[in-house]
Amino acid sequence: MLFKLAWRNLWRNRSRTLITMASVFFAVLLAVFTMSLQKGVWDNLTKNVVSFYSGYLQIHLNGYWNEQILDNSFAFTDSLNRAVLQQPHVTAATPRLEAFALASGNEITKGSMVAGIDPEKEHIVTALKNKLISGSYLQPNDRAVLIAEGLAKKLQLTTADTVVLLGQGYHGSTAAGKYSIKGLVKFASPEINEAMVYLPLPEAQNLYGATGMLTSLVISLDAPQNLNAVVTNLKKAIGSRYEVMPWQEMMPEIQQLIKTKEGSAQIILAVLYLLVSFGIFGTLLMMTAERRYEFGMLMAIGMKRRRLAGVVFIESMLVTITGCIAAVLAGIPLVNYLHQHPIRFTGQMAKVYEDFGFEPVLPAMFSMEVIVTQAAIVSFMALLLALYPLLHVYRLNETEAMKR
Amino acid sequence: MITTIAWRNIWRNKTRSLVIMTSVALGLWAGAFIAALYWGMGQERMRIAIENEIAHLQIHAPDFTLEFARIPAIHNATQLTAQVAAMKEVKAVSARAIAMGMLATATGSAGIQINGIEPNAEAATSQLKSKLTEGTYFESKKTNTALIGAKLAKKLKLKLNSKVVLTFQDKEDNLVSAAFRIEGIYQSYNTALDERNIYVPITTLNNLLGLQQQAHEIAILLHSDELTPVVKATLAAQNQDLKVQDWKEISPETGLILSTMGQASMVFVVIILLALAFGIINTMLMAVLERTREIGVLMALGMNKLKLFAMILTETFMLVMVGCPFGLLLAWGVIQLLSEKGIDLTNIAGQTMQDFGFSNVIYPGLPANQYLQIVILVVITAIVSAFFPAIRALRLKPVEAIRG
Amino acid sequence: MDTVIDVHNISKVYNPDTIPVYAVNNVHLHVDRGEFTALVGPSGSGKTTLLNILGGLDHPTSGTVVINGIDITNLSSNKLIDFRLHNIGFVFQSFNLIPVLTARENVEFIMLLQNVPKKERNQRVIALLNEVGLSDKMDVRPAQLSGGQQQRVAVARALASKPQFILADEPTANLDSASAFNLLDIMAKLNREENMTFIFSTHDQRVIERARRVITLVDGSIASDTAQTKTD
Repeated sequence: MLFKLAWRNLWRNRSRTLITMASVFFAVLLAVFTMSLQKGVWDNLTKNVVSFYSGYLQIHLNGYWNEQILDNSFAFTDSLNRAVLQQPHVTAATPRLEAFALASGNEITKGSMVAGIDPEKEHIVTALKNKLISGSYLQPNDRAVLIAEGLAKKLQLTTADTVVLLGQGYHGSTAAGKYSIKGLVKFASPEINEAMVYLPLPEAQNLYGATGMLTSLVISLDAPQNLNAVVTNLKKAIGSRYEVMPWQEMMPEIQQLIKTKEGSAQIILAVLYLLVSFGIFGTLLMMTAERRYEFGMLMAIGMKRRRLAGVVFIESMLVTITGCIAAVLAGIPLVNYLHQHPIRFTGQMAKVYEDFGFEPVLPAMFSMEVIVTQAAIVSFMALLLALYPLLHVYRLNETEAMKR
Repeated sequence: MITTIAWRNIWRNKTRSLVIMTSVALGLWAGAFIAALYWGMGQERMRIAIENEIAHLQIHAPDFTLEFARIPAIHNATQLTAQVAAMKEVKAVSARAIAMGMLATATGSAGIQINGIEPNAEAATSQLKSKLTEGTYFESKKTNTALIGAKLAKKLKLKLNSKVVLTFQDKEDNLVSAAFRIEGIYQSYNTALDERNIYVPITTLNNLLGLQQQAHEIAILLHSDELTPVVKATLAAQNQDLKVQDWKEISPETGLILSTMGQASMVFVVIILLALAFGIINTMLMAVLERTREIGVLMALGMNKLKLFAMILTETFMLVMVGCPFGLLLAWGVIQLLSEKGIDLTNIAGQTMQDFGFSNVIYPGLPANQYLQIVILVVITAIVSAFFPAIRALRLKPVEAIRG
Repeated sequence: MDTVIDVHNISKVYNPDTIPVYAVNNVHLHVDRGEFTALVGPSGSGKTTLLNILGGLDHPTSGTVVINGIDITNLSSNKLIDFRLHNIGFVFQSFNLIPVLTARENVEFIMLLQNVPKKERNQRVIALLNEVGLSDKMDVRPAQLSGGQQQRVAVARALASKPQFILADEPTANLDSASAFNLLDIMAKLNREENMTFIFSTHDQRVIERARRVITLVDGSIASDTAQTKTD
């Protein structure tokens, strides 16, 4: 009976019902929109940053990260490779041997970072092939190098010239080699662009006297959100001889940058919640004021306050739930659209982003979890606010209310 | 008379008017607060960049670049430094000799930038002395002591009094190696810089480089940023054979951070404005529906649509104009309070902000012209939002309205 | 005698597609200047609909409405608003004064819409409120006036635009007898002295007796149309 009354009340004043519903609808939609955009931006930043070099996850010999020297390398065995690839969500394992070397051209010498790579697998992690600006890509058994464009410029070298690498090899041996430059690769990050020299893995192992050894194994995943699961499983599978490092540990500053931004995002979200709950409250307040007479009359003809409050609360619930569902239904295509067609900015900002190697976009993250969470938070707030009309009913004096 | 009606309508339903005024005030506050949050972060970054890293201006030789090979020097550096120091706008000047090279320990090595400095001048210019966390600041009688960043020390497991070998090229392009002892360890807001920069006395470095009375870089700290363009112009005119740059030219990434923040704060201000708009639309729509009969009578009596439209718009405009000062006052009060107390993000962000050259406490702040911008945006939003209810009012039919 | 209202063959049908309801059925009506006419009939007989059509508030489904020589049947709603402003005065059953304006301002408001100069406005407001006997309540808002006083302000407001005629829908229905008589006296006086045409709907016998012409509506059609001699 109460439900029927509430239902009819909603239909009787359709405009008012729609307006109240709209206030919930927009509140949910705005919260979903804000959160999806926030999350999307940081996800995108992470994706950009890890594809610079590190990948989402690496395996090293225990202790390598704190002391990045060749003596902390490990043998890349078939059993290790199999153990890694057997893990669910792991799609590839990319081996690297990384070491410092002085790179010299004809007259100039510069410090550089030498990476011995498996050319095809490396492309999966960092899209290295796409960064080639002249010459051609490495073959697995080449005795040649790819060198970063910035470094080449400093050394006054170009494709087909010869570069001399000089460094400290495995167990204190001397590493020295002369290689022809097969191609130039260009990186957005100046730091990498002025440092990298790529060699095929066997040749790098040869140069550094580290046959069969690796410094790191970069793991590719099917989807970033499986990262934590893979880390846990890998740790179990390969034991304590190795360290399994997600990008958060390798680049704590990026991880914390994202946390900070989420910190300021929380402040913004709090401000938004405040504003939208005020919007909903305003509508409820007016609804209550408008229905004073009606409430007074119902009480005058003998309706108990408790029952009247019940009717009003059922109304609020129906309105909130409908508004919420509508917002979720509208939010899914909207967020999905912004996920697939991200907001693109132009002008000076875009140029700066491109200089840093980022696509100048603000993509939204499409996640049902975000949408549902925001819908739940806002409906909870709306229901909390819906206590106000109840309070009003309990305090209403029916004779006062009946006066027009 | 339309104004009179609009004005008196405001006082007629005080609840509704209060709701709208509060919405406007809250919207204004929210917009200003978020803008202030970002502006404060940007300003802080700028302040740190200037006072701890770059200084306002730097003078270099025209073809200066950070090369592993010989870096072009400023020949009359001593004279020029004295001359700059005498200018009344100048707070501090530091002349630096620079060499790019490699730092090697028994177990590891890293590429670094060696800065030869005059300790007191550097302390005054980039606060180097106050960044010291361990050891002493060039108090040793020995000339071959160095300060290194905490991050580099950790990476290479260096402690106070550890011996390091620095290798670089002198002015004749001969490879020079020299042993230094770590006298102090410093930590700045920007760990990326800490990892790369080490400091030694300028005389020692110049001796090794084979230079006399020369420097590669003169950093100038002014009394305030407003003086930058003037002093830059003066110095550029006096030293046409040298390159005078301000901090914006030297650190475009600071510009990137500032403009990203501007962009991000705009996006959120827009979201806030949307929330405000929906609040106003809802409430005014209710007001229109509540007054259906009255609007019907006005139309029956012969009030034309333009005047009716103007009446509702005027009413909203007045509400907004009453709400605005309160919002401004609230925003100003909160921002003023927080600009002194600061918002401590340590709990949310941990170390991060420091790693990126931010401090952990945000001091929100907003210049007057930005307040004005936000007021204008809020007023425009409010007026545009009033269009919908006004249009709804126009669509009422007098017969039905009077009957209802 | 000139004609103010000339209505031909008008009908107003609701639900024409399903179960047609004739609110007004095939009505011919002719009203001359200076008439004091009552429209009577049981509730639901179409009085209000007919008055709305005469007042340009509602369109008939068929037929033509000519007011003061102008065919308003097919005027746009915006033109109708303007037409009403200059030609027709309204008095409503529930007064419908603008609650936020004082008595003086309610009357002045109409002239403001007509762009009457301020000096003339002021003079007329005083004269009109005098005429309805409210010169002492000029700066009082409707909420502080009795029903009879509010309805007198409404009459003054209706007169303010110098209309061709005044339409009053059940003007006395919400009034006590004393106020009702008082209002009728004022209306009758205006009719007599200024030759103002009044058409009012009512089912109050005391009001019907004061009319000089009584049109009776039954089921949307005119059942009788009789002239009466004045009793006052």
